[in-house]
Amino acid sequence: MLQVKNLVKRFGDKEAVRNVSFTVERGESFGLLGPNGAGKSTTISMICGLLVPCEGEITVAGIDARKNTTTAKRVMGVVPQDIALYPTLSARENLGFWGAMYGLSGKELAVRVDEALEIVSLKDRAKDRIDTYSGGMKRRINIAASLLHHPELLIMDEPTVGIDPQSRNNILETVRTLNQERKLTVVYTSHYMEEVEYLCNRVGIIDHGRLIALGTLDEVRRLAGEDTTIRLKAARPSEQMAAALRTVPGVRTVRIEEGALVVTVPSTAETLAPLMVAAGSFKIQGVEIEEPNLEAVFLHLTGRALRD
Amino acid sequence: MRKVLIIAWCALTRLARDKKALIILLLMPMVLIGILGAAIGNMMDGGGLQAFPVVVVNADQPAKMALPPGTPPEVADKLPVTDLGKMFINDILGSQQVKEILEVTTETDLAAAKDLVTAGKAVCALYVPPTFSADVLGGKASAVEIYGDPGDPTRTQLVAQIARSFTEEVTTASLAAQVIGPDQVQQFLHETEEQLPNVTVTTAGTKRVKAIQYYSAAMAIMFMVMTAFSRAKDILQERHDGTLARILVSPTSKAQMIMGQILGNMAIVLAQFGILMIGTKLLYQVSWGNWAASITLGTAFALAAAGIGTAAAGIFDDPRTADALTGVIGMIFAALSGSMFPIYLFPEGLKLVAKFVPNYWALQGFLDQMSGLGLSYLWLPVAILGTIGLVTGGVGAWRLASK
Repeated sequence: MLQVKNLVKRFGDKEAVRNVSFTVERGESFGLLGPNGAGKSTTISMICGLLVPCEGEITVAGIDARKNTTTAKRVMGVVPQDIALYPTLSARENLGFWGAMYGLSGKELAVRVDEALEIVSLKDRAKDRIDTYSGGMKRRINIAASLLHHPELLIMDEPTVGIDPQSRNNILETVRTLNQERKLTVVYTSHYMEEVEYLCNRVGIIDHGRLIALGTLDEVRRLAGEDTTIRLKAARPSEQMAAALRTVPGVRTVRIEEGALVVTVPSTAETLAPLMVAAGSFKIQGVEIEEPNLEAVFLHLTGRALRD
Repeated sequence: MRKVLIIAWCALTRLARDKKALIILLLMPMVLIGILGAAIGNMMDGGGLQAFPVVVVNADQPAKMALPPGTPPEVADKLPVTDLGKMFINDILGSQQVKEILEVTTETDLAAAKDLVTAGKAVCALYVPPTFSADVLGGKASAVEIYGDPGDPTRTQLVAQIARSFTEEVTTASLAAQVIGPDQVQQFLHETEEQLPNVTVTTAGTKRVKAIQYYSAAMAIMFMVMTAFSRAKDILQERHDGTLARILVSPTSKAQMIMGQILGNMAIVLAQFGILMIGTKLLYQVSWGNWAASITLGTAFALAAAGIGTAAAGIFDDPRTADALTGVIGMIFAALSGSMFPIYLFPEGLKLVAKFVPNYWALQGFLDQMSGLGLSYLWLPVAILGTIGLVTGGVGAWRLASK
């Protein structure tokens, strides 16, 4: 559905996107993860025709998006990071306007507007002005506006920025439904790794304009190592305690951190019980188990936390 | 073209929903037209200032002209007795031209006259001294004395100017012709009329333009430019909010988007003009002259204003900066073009500068139509405004497209 090959974008001397390549298959939900300023939005802007790449190729549904930009735009639905709606118009008027921008008119437009409102569960507020909506509701209309023309590819640029957890869950559910039930191909950018892990089958991690990891969720997680981290909180962790834990079968490493003994194991199920027995004589105040995640991958690959 | 119209319609609808903007763009000009029309009406519509009270004390004694030594007595006997004080009061202050600005009453006692000034019942008191005629006819310096209200120096100066002119005139006349007669009085009145601050709207037309008409056109023009500039801010705000980008990620070209914005600007300004035109007609009974001509001119000016607004959107980046600076520019345009003070009060240099401002051409065009000039006087302002609109709109479109 989407092929991005050797994409480069420079702003003056600054290279914002450096040789980024990835593909997204039809029906897939692809996550583009990275911290703020990593180059996610610039990449998305080039895909949806808002920015002209300096180098590289973009193919959308078999269409060369650089040569046939207008045709490619008809296939894509774009949910921008900003709430790009007219606040003094009602939701229905806004959707009518955005549908018209995709060439819809008359009865067909009215039907599509109703359908989009249904998807985001805001049909009962259709006549209300956008400036009377909550942040989460605005975000949902922002999504609805990108669905009117029945796109094959939905590109979502950080669609949950600045909203409450409940609205965020609602949006994630909507996106998941669109992908899984309506078979819509989704490209989802975020700096929230939980969202990407929840929604996406495949993921690309971008940092300083460069794609530093690409693959399925499991493939990418393994980049940080396959081990689970068990953090045993202790008032005064000592080398003696660490040595005792190293003798437990299945334990790969033990290191001392402030207030904790950090143990890595390949399998929590097999190792946790004997580990707790071995630690029984110490004054353990708590246990935290960290499965490998994208946050850890990012930390592993860049030495920085994702939200730094 | 459909998308261009939809974008324009969207801009118009959004403005129609903005109550604050509607108050500023429609209600405020209507109120200002009413206030300025009423306030300046006396000056403009009456053909001069409103008449104000002046008290005169004439102590002058008639006299004969002083003759050079050696003049035969029979010549001296033939000289008429001249009463210049009486002449000043009857022929000068009592003339139709002066009566339009001065309400003259006479007093015999100077102290009583001064009391009237102190009490605010007269703007000033004029005192014609007993030797006025004798001094003037004798070639000596003399003057009508004036006791004015210190709080009203302008009108006192006006009266002083009339008295001074008369004194100089009769002194010169008596020296030159040895006598002052009806011809000199008529000559003086003619010259005095030219010196009076007779504020009238001078156009080449056949109808007099009233203050309410003048300010209807002037305020409509000023606020149309304000609207166009506020649309510049709106376009920048749209850019900031991401709606322009969203239009561009749809299969809508940049050209369609920009044309839609320009057309939207023009539609808004034109709608504003239409409402103000009809509103002033209904509320103040303002005659805009030939309606077809005024609508043509209004359309040409709407194009110019839309072009300027688009150029501002292209030049500025930040909506707040645009809002602040275009507000100032709009006021300068208005002041220069005569929207605030009639342009014929301007010095020549400013009148020349005004010709570089589109508001000037629109105002002159409307005044021409209001004064009854025909359609032949329409083409120049329409052509200039149309050119301004196309050039500035083109520059704005180019700048917006390159952003």
